[in-house]
Amino acid sequence: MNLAGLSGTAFAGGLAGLLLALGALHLLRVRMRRQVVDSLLFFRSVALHARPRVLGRKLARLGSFLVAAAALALAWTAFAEPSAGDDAPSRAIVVDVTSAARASPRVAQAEQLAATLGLGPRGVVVAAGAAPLAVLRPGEPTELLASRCEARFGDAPPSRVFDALVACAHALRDGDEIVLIGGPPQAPASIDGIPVRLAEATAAAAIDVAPPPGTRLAVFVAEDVPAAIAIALDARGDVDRSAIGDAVVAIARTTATLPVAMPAVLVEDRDDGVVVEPRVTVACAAPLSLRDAARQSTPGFRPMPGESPWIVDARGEFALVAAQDSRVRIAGALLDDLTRRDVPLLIDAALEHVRPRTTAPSLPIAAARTHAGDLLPGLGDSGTLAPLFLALALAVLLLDAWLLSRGRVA
Amino acid sequence: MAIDTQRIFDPAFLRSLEALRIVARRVPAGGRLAEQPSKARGAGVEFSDVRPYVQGDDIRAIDWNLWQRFEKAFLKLFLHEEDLPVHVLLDESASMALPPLGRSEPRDKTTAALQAVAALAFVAAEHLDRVGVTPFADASGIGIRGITGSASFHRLLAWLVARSAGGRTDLVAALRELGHRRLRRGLLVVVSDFLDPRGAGGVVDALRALPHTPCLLRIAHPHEARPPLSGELELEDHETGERLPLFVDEAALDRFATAHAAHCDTLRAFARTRRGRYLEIRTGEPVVPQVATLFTHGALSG
Repeated sequence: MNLAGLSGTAFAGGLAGLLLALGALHLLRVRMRRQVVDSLLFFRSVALHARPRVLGRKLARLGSFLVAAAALALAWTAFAEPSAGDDAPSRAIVVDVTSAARASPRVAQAEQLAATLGLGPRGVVVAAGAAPLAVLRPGEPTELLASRCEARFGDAPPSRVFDALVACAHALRDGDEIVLIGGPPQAPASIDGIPVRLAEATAAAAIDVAPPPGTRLAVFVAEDVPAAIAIALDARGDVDRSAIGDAVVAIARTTATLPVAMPAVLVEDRDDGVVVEPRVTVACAAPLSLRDAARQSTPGFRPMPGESPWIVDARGEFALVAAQDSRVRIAGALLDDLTRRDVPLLIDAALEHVRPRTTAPSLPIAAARTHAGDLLPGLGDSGTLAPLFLALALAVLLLDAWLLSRGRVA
Repeated sequence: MAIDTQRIFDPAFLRSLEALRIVARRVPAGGRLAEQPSKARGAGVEFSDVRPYVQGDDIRAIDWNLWQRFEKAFLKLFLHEEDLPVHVLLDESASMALPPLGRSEPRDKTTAALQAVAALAFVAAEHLDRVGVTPFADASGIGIRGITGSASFHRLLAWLVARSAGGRTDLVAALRELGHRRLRRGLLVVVSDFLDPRGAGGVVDALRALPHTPCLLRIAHPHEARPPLSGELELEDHETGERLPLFVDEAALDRFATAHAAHCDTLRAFARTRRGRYLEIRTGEPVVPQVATLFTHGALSG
């Protein structure tokens, strides 16, 4: 029942507005009808007898307004889910610990991310194992993460990660993000508007290249692609070296013959020219170091019409990476240096771009959504209390109606 | 507040006055509207007493029978019948101009009051009685006096159509001022809603200090004893602007009716003790037939 997840300021503003509206309605509702009479002579004798009841009615009116205001505040609280923290963006780090073999480095990476990036006021580190569990909350020392996660390591279906993702998205709000460390290849790009960012690999050597059991790999790699691409793909751990006909995404040289509709990452061997000046990362989603002055002498290619350069020189003349629809072209020279740490990230970003991604809630997400509120108790939503609040609000409104019924103008 | 004179003295009303003329003529002899024997002895026809003759007396009044018996001159005394004045106090306060509660018709108390005054003055004119009308609200206004005979009656009508309502009701002050004027003892007709802030007790006390015979014509709206009100109300006095928050339910209406009845009973009882009349004139009905009921049991006498 988390409908808004408003900040404290927005919550207070909304509540004040609602109370003002309620006050205005209350005044209109109980305002006495004015009646001009020829004399108050006889009415005064009536008022003498009725005076104690008038006081009682005044108290009833005040009480009626107070209980109505309390009911409104409760209902507003139940629906708006105010956050006590500030409005700073938060980050949920989901660590896939379904595979015991790869859990330790992922937890270490999560610890590093939590320490360097921080979690924010609503952030959390969630161990996505057989049962998702919040293992680190804001303000807690990150050193606790390893010991808390250790007991959660164990084999579990990778789809359990969806439970953690949905639960985190449920607790976060616009402007926040989810960082997924590991996870199945069909991880969605976003859930309920909360972007899901795949954690970047800190080093190729740190990536467990062994594909997880049962994972269907769907990227075809042509035999003649540079070794750097192979290493980068091995780092991803979801590469299938089967025939191209079964591939979902092809990685090949631009000279390869591919089906028109097949998404592909193409290695461009053509060398159009060099402008010796810093390259600029224009649109690449990966945080590449190429945005710096490095590789100023790398030859690039001229982008084709309609092609969007990712990395280009300052003049926008020669691109190192460019993308169009489901095709990404990468300058072959960019991949020569096997020690570049950017290469896996670049390939990863290119694959993310061309691969059909799960943007709509899939079956695992829908299944996880049904019990999202129970997965991470105490995090964000108070779904169990909202119906109670609403029932209480209904009760006090009924009391309000009963109190006002005595003073209502006939 | 201007008064719609065309509506007050419309042809129907004037025709009803003709009917009232018949009623007035049925009043038995010696029972004229304000006619009563004066304590002053004079040249009347009704024997009253004798007294010894003194020089200068009219020898035509010497009782010759007593002369024969006592050989001494006695003078016969007769009651001197003279008209007694009809003093009319006409309420012109703002409450008289208020239409009935919950009714859309423009009938107000002022219309009924003016018609009642005109009807009474018509009867008085028929009997050559002398009528004076004094308007009042929070203070007495300039009235009209010496209305007697049909010519004067039309002067009264012209004066009445020029009236307007406004101000607070202060009947007690008007009665006290009337007492200070030391008018000849006669019939005091009070045409009002009697909504003086001092209540019926204050009005009666002021009336009791006057020597006149009271004829209290209370102008009342329909359902005035039990106004069609209910619920949470803020009542506003039309005259003073004073406001009174009140929850009106059946119990409150019962108390209102009780207070209203006590108010009317006080006025009625006082009129009875002074051998006067109390009449409630309802605004929703023709005024002249209601005024005519004053004469169904005989004359109004001072």
